[in-house]
Amino acid sequence: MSRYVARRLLQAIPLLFAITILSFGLMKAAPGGPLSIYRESPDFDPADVTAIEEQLGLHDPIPVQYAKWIGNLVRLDWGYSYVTHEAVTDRIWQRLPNTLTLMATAYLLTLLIAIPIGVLAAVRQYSRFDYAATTGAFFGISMPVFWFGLLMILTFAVQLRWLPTSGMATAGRDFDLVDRLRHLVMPALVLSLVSAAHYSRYIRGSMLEVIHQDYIRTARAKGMREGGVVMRHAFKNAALPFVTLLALDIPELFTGAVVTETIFAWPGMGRLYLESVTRLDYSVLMAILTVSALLLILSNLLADMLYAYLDPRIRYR
Amino acid sequence: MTTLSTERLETGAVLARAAPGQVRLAWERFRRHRLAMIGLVVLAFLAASALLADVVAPYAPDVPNVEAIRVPPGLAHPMGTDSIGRDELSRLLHGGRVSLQVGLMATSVAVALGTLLGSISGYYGHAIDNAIMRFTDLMYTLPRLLVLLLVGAIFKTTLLLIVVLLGLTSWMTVARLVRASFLSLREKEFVEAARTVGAGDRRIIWRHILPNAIGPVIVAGTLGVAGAILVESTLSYLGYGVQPPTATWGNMLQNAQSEMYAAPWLAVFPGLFIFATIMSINFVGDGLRDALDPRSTRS
Amino acid sequence: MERATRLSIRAAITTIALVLAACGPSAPAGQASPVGGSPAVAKQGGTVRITVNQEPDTLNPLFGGGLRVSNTVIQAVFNGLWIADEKGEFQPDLAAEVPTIQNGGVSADGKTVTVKLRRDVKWADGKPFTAADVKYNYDVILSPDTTIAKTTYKNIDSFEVKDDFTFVWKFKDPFPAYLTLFSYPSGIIPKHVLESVPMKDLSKNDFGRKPFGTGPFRVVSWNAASDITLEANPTYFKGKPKLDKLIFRITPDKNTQLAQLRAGETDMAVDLAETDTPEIEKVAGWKILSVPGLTADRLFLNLAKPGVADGSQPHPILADKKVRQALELGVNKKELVDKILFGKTTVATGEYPPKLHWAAADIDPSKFDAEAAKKLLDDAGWKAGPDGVREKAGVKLSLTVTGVTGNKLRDDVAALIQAGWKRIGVDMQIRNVAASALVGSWEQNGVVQRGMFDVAFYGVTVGIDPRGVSLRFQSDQIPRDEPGKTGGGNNMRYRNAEVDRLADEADRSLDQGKRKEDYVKIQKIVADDVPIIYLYYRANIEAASDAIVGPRSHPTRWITWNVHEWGFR
Repeated sequence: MSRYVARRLLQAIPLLFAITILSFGLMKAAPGGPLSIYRESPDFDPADVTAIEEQLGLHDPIPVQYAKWIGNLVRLDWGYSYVTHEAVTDRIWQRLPNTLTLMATAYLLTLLIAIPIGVLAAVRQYSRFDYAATTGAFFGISMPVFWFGLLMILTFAVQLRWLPTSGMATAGRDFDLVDRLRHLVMPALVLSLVSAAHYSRYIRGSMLEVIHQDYIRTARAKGMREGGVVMRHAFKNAALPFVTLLALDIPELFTGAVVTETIFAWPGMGRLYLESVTRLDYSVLMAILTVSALLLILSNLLADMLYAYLDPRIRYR
Repeated sequence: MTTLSTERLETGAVLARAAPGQVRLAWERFRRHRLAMIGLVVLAFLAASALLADVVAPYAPDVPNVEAIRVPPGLAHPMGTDSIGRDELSRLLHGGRVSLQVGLMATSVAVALGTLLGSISGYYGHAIDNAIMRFTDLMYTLPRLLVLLLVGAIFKTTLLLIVVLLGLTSWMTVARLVRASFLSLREKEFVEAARTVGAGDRRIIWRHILPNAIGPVIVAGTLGVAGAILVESTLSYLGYGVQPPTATWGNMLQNAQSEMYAAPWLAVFPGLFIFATIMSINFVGDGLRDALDPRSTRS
Repeated sequence: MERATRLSIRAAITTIALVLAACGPSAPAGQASPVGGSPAVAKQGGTVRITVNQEPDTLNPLFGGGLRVSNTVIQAVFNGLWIADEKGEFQPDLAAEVPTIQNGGVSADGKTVTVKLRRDVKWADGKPFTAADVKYNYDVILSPDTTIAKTTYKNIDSFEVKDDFTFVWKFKDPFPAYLTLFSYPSGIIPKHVLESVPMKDLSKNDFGRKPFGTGPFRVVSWNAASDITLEANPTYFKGKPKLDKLIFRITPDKNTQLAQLRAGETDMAVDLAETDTPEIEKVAGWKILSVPGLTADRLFLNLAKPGVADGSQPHPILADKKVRQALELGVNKKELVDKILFGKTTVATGEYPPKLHWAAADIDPSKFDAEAAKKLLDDAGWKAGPDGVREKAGVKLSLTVTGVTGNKLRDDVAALIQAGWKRIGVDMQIRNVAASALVGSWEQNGVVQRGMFDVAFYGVTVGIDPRGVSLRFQSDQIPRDEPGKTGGGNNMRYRNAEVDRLADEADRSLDQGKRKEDYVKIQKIVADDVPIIYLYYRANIEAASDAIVGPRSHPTRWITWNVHEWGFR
């Protein structure tokens, strides 16, 4: 296994390299650039905009621009934002802890909600609980996040005034844990409920498959307790799809959730990504794409390793 | 953990000899699944009303009416009107044409492609698995937004292009799910049993493993339809796909975002239609799974 | 010089002098009659929370991209030499007076401008503001190591500091827009704080995150993507601000903004759209402040055939003036303003809204008249075909309107225009593209630059100086594939010899009165020729809680223009 892991890690390097080249090319191929909005302003002469773009190296041939970027990257210099002129690392670091807080809390809540519901719905298939869980899940999937989020804000913040409408903290106040927690409740709930809706469907589905298999029947016939049977045997086998999805979602701890962050004015990475794409802030965009690619590669490796643990017969030959 | 089951061996042997009656048997099982039939009916109804929208819709979907702006649901307009007086119900019916097409076709492409690549990857392992999975990683990390911007800049954005693009950028999750199932299932006894009676790789993949791996695929497919419909709205927000004033459920939802206070019904009805669609697909999927797996029982 | 010309110059100068005398430094801004504001006395102290929907890119006034929200905050922190008032005319700010030919500030040949500064201005850290600061800003702007727009400032041939409060500019050629230097929309940054920073590192310097200037407030903290806090500057030269603090909260979603309003979490919301007003008006204790601004949504008509590179072939449909006039008559602009913009703004008639100095105030807003439109089209030879769409010599009267994606307001407007044109027999297709694709440069294949459109639908903000009007309508400004000519603003491919002559004259004259005459004439000709169908001006709209006294919407500036006067009741 360790040889397999080492091999995968080594393969990750050229893969990441290829990804950065592709992303860079795609980015540059999109029409416009970080200074495009300058052209819409009456205070900027188009000749000025072109001159500034020249100065910033935006008219260099694309391979040259890429070479500069990657050359800087290996020296751990991520460059400066074309929009705010701050260091890219600063720009990311301002928001990353906020995103981590929100996404980690949401994931925890997701698991706490989805696993029991999914498992229970499968164990009691076609019961009233199952129907309720299924219907609830589909509401969660088809109702858009913005609607759900706004509904919560209107109910809990405007009508009941129990919670603040938005933001991460009350502006102008020093750090206050209770204040922070009150701001965290709604965005984390919105994210986790929608996510749990998706996950519960997968968990229920996998559990259903496993429950009806022979060895479960055998274990039951042998007299094992319900709780023991379900959790130990069934869940481990049912966990494969679940683990797959969990791993695929790990990069979101970094990239955040755009819609939720927008509605709740959460200063996170999701909004940064959207702003960078919209404004074509190349340096920030490349940083985000590269780091999330790295995270994805690593999490998929983690998932593959977990498969082997969960189902010992899986072997990577 | 597992005991060798003679039943399994026999089933494998039975399936190894292609039996045409299997399809009819599966259909019989499907028909007995009440919810699946309901789902099928609802789906057919939605599809029909979308196709017959020209006939069924009470108003023309794109004609503004400044005298009837933001009318709440009532007699004249059962689902209300929007910010320039267009009838929601008519727009939903016409919009269904695009949304159902996009949702179903894009998801079919994604599921087909994902299943194909995932099964090959999970079954053969080794270098093939490696190659396919690294390709999957690459596709995952490509920012879909940028791909779309680029493609949209080069090609004319027709519906077909959107469907193909959406499908080509969403198969990866299905592939990974199918691969995970195959990694696990290929080690199971019934596969070995099928091999001993002489079944080739393709038969093993298609007839033996895949029916057992289909579970997560169905879930992914269901969720994928909803996802595709909603992603289509983001695309039209960016200028790809359907141009205004043509309605789709997705872009109606988008437009409803700024009308949440003034006309909240505008967000509810498209959501309900999407809900009905994926509920029915889900039930059909459940029925499919039960029909294909002779061992599942209704308790 | 001819006697007649001398007399008219003298008349113009006298007029200008009288105008300037009426609103010179003796009548400081803010004591003008309040428009819609209440004369209640504000008390000292308090913090105003302001909701904005975007984050500034940088608060260093020399390096920003002109974002509205950046300018809103910058305006509370910095000053320029002079600023535009509500009519778009310049009033002194840091300068003691606006230099003109009449008061001797500008030499007779227009090539020398002498600027005298106020002597009582201090930076927020107490150091005095002097001419050396302005010279420093000039050096920064023109430095080859800074990424700042330099074209305007390159007009200055030499910058000579005479003493602490006087400096002189010399120009190679008279520069009529000289009042845009160091005023709009930027600010002047302190030399003593930044002169030790290398030029190439200036934009990255932390000063852009926590700046201070000569203005009524200074920035004390900026939590990324979240909020910006400003504190009052007690030594502000126009008077100590009544408020203690301003907090700008960044809330990107409009619905959430409204929720904040209703939950009492904010005191003001700025940069609103007309469509936001009905819901806010329902909230007790809030008022809407609005005034039509410098942005107008328009339909640009391509008079040349799309796709022919040099624009030499006429557009098969739009080259005919009758057709263009008919198209304009077929748009019910009043309905758009009333139904989609909730009556919060006005129909647009020209580049500048009527109350502004440069406007052609007496242009009649075109009346909606479908019958007259049909008649014009009939006269022009476009007869209705079997499907209702007009045709002529086998060509259908079908136009594609290219707009920007993601703008629901414009989508709604376009749908109404489509319905209106359908009634007069014009078929309209809508095609939306990304903004950067629509208004991108020639090199980036920008749609309007390259002329790849029939009708382009987007909004344009005019500058405080009308030089942009020349750039819009001169035939020399038609974008074409010649060096230096790809950036022209005449994307309509419009040619009119009289307009060319007037624009040329206005570009050479320092006589602001003569310039105004020329630009008024140009706008009138354009109103008749219809290369552009002006739809409506976008209003500058803000919402404020009734507890706050003082804020007033401004057509050419941002709401913080008089922030030193704001206070709580």
